[in-house]
Amino acid sequence: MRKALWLAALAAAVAAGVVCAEVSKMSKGTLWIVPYDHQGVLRVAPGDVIEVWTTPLAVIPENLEARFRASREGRGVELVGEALPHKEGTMERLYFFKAFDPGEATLKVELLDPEGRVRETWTYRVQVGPCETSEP
Amino acid sequence: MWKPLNRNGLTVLTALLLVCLTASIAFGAVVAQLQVRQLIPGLAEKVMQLPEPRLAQLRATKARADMEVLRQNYFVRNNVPFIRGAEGEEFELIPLSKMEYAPSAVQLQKSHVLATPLSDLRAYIQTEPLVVATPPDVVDHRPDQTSVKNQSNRGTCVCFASMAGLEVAYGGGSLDLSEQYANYLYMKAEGHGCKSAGLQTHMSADYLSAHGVSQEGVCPYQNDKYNFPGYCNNGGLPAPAMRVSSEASSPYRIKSYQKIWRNDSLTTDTGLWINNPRYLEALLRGGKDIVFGTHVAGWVTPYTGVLDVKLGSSGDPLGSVGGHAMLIVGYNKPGEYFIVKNSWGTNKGQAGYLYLSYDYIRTYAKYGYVINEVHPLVLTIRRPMLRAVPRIQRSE
Repeated sequence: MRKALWLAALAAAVAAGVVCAEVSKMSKGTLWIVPYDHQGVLRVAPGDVIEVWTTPLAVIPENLEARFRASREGRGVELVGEALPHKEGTMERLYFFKAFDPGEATLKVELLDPEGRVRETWTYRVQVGPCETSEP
Repeated sequence: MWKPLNRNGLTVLTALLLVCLTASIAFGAVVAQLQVRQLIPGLAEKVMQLPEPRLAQLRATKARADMEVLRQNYFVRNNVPFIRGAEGEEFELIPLSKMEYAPSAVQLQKSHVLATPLSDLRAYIQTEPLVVATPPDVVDHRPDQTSVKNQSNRGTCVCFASMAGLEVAYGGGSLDLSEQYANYLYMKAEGHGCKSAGLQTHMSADYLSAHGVSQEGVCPYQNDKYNFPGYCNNGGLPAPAMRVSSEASSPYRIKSYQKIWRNDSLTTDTGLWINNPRYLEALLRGGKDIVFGTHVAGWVTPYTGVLDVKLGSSGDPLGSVGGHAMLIVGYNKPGEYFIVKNSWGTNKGQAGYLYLSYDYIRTYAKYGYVINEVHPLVLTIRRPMLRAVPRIQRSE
């Protein structure tokens, strides 16, 4: 009986250690917030998330049918999601890119007119390095 | 010999203290009442022994007050001065000009029915139920509003919506408050530069109760978001000096307000929520206008019809393209839409007003607030200058 209790305690300790290691691995990523007018190369690490804010287009009739579009060229980074900022007055979009593997990529945000033509383009260069260079 | 109390002792002591406290409060209240009675002798008796004519007068007033519910009744709208009750009593209707929600100009136009002799109307009313307890179908505060403004190409809708709400809270008319100064206040509070824009609409209530705003003349609006020199030094003065001047002349401030939130789990129109049209109707009936923030989705120029929820190819409501702030100033129940003051100039919508369907509000409204009270304006009266008055020679 006593042995069984010791074994159970040991198993619990091992399980807790594994969970902690996983959680610490998950929390290692850095969130990079990039304003629309950012220039220069972003040096990130695998696991990092890049949050790109579009230009703060005003909510006015002339802009209502305009749309944003985000994409990436190169490798190491993927577009993983988008969101609206929680405020009134502007039509900004937030695009989320995640770095997976070492490599170089260019993130591109385009403003399209109602006919789908590109009105303006913003690009951001990203270098995804090995884990050691991930410190901000 | 003193001994520490055990648990039972402590309980008894606490109970005793509570009893003593209650008794002293009650005693104090009785003494205060007695003193008031002594100061104003016969107060209670006077209330109890109202003379019969006075009571009758009170009852008549009460009856007139009850008749207010008839203000949206056909006879009221058509300016019939009084009606006869089912038991033969006559009720004078409140003059249209004194009504809280005077019918709009269109409703005031005399109908052909007015040509009907009054006696016929009286005969008709005797066979119909008198009291119309249902709320009015239409409430429209547009006549009370200040002029419709244009935010130009800047994302300052929250400034315009909040200033519109504050202007009407101060009585409306020709009052014109400074959106430029409001934006300066909001962006400063949010930690952004003065050329930035965008804010959660409800936050403007917090900022406007902490700081006042000035009139438009002190800090005029700058139309071009790219080409104004910063803050509001458009008078040619350096920014800090202008700022001091503006702050010194910014007395327009909210004293109390009530925020209204969204409840995403609503399945019926209940509760004090921004996505409950019935609640917004009640606020409007109570004389309030509602500063609110909403998602913009599926709006089609020139925005003259009722803007309703549009479904995408998936069958869900269209996604938001951004957030916008405006002022709800009325509703039309049969048409199921709210009347909303916008800030895109008078050539958009209905002379600057939009109609948003009840469903649109249920789907896209985010939050809002009503202004309950504003700080009174303190007028500084200059002492009249003394000057020599020419002596008048009296003729004998």
